[in-house]
Amino acid sequence: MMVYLDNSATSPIHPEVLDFMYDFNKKHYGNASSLHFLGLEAKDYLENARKKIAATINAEPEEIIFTSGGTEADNLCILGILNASKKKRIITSVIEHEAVLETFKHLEEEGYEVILNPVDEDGVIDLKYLEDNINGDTALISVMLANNEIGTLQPMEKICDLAEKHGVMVHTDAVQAMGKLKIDVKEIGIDALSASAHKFFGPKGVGFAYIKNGTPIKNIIFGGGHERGLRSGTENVPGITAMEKALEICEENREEYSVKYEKFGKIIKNTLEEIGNYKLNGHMKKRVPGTLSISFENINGEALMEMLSMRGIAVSTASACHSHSKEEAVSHVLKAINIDEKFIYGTIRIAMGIENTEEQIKYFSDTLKECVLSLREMNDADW
Amino acid sequence: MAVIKYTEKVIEHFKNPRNVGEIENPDGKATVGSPACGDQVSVFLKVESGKISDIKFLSYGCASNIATGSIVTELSKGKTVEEAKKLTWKDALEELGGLPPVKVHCSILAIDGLKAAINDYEENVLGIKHEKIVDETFILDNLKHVIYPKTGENIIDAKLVKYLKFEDSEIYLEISFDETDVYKQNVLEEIHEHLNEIPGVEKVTVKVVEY
Amino acid sequence: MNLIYLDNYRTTPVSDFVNERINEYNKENFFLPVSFTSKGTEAAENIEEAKNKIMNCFGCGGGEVVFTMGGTHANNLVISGLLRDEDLSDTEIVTSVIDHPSIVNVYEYYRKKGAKVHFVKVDGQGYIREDILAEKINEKTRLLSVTLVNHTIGTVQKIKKIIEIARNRNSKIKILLDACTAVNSIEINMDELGIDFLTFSGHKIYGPRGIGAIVSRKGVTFKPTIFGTVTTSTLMPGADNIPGILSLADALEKAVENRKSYVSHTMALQKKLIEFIDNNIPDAIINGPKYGERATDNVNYSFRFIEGESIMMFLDFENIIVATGSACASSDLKVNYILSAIGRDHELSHGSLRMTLGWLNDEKQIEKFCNELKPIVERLRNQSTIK
Repeated sequence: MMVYLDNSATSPIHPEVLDFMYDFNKKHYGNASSLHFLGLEAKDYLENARKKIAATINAEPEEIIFTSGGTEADNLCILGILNASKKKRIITSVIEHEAVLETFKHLEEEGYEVILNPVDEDGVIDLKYLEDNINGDTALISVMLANNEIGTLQPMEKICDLAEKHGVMVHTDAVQAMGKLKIDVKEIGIDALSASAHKFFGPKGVGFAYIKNGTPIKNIIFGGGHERGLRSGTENVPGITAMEKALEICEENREEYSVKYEKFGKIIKNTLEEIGNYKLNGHMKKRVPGTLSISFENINGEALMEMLSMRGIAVSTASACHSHSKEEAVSHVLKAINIDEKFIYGTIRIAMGIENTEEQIKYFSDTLKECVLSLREMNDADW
Repeated sequence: MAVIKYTEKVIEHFKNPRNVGEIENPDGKATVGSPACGDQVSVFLKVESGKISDIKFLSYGCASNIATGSIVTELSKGKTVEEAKKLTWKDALEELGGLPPVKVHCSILAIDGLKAAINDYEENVLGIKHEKIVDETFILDNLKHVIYPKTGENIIDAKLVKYLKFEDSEIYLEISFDETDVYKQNVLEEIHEHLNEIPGVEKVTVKVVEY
Repeated sequence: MNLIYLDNYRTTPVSDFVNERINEYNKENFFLPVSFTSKGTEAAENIEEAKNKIMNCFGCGGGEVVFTMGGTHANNLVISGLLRDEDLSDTEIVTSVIDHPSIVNVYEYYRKKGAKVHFVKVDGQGYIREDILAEKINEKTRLLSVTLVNHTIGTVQKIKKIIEIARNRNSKIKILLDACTAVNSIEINMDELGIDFLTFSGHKIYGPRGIGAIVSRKGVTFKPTIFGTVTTSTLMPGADNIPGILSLADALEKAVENRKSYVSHTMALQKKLIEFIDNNIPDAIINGPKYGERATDNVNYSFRFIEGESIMMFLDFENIIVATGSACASSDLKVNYILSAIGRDHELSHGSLRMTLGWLNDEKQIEKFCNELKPIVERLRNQSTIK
């Protein structure tokens, strides 16, 4: 049996979305920036997608900028906002995704003063620290809505309140949250947000940024002036409309999926009890549905992942993003939440998707138990 | 970027423009706009007992230029000269069911063409001399003929003009644009075109204030 | 609906061949190339294979391929990546006045930032003036960017000569070749020509949307200007668009495989179109080089006394799609800078029409187009203020 439980790295495209894209490519090939009628048709699709996506997060259509994915959207929001500001202090959390952290690292080299805000053991940002570190020269706070490794949600509304008091812009990387949670940008009070389609069962190579009307921002890509001049380049109309379709499917079925993930989570947790000597990471309540970060005592997470892989199960050790490098085997997120030495190397992440069935989860649970126990036996033998 | 889409009525007038052509020995005629700017309209009038009995137009320009020319001739035909003088570009716009913001200037050109032809009639046939007092109010009115393509408002209503001074035959104007505004060049050209035509104006200086 | 699509430089349809591949890859190859899983390794291998295919297509032995969001993004990445850490007050960059906005606008940005930027003039047919080019290149010049086939008037730059001039003046200069509109019809050998960076885009070669690539010669590179998770490339971080990457390589291979027949196919149509206009419509002036010298898939004319958006729309009513250089039809109401650069006055730019040919066009379509065009031009001229 094949069980894919790595949906936070990337999710398979939804079959309906795939069919839609296939047909779209067959029928429409106008370039949305052209004036003739095929172009107009493409433009209609584009604007319709923009409207619907905007409505999903309670934004205005013109506040949605299409990009090639989450990384570009993060870069556009952060670099774009800073390009339009003279202030030099920028704040982010220690558990951000690399798309944000690497951008901040680059900005530090450029002369910005970077504050890395700590988090507590659940991965929740330290608000006191944040407030103490906002000063008159602070341009931007960038904090992710949901963490990709441990699933913890951040108190974005409180962060935005704090920021507003001091006239600081706030960006949130919502890549992991989009499609899984109800997001209302007005309620949160956020200035900029980024999302990526392939995390919510849409196509790869497409994403979007939300940039609140009136937010001072300057473009980082130059060309034909597409997307309000913020993002030049011919629009990927099939990709964008397919992304909208995928988001729509997620929104329509959100409740149903949440219930399903909850149920699957229980099955897995029961097995964990049987296995013993484990820890669940991240906040237990304020978390994104379908994600579990589990640390097993005295287990090598990489070995466990490989064993599972041989049995047809895909999970990730920390975050698929940096598991290619050995020295980064322990992720910055796990370090930041202070997991016990004995547990930290034995961490895997389970990220469920809409295609998972109860049968698959049961197979996974049984296999997990078998693998962990046999790895522990091997460890014992080593002693 | 706004979706550039014409209403069905614009398309219809573009496809089948009314009153196209020239009138031989017209009572009034005028040509406004320039090919270099991409649009030009000529209007020809016949007036009988105070009423516009015939009107024709020619157009060099885009679809909205042709359609606005057509609708303006339709709106004014049969009206008295005094009634026709009261027509505004907004009337033309309304009659067509609206135009995309980047095309609103076309309706002004067509109305300007009509008014210039009436002016020509009044001067040449009726012998009325139109005395123009060129002052800041007059210049301001003139600037209201320059449309900001982004919003379809004139540049005064769009609050782009920040300062205006008219002294010793010289106009000094300050106008503000966002640094990345794609319409800057277009608006500046239009301003110069309008202000340089005003009699008695020898020099026009426009300062751009970017923010 | 019998559509006659003559705007293939704007974008090409996704070919059925590529669409099938995209669909298949989306189903089978959605895994990211990073996890230590068999599927992840397979994905990494597939990407390597796609890169090798692409390098082969451009005669690039052992360089690197960076996948981007498209042609605009590719040009942006190379230019900004080369200039990122330079002392701009001591840096010069060169391109032509008619290069693509994705180059020209980045150059404008660096001009504002303090670099010395040269836009080399072109002659009446759009060829870069070699005498001026030589003048503008010196030891401070970091980069020369050239669009191989001009996207408006189809001029094919004499790239071999241009590179020779550039390297004679400064042996270390980097050469960026924008090949977006050239791939279908022109063979390019990077190693032979000495091109450092070549950019192209999927949607111009009957391939996938939202993806393009930078091919760089062995030993040359630039710095990243977008930051994130490094998966397959430090220069373009973020999750790899695997279906896009694999189908881009397929589309490119197909374009190269079919190039000869593409050239003869488009050239026959081009000949017919040019002959018709020259023989049947007076006061029509071709923009760009003459037949036999210009890109085989590009035709561009200025029709005196009338405006292009009107012609374009009347053709549109007949389901014929073309493009115009008229300011009225552009979103920023600016006069086409390329037509101005080759000496066309505003009026002639407004009256310009671009027909770009492709696989979906045939002789019958060209005949139909010609039959529609003539009366439209006559009619608009009849009602024009200028004669």
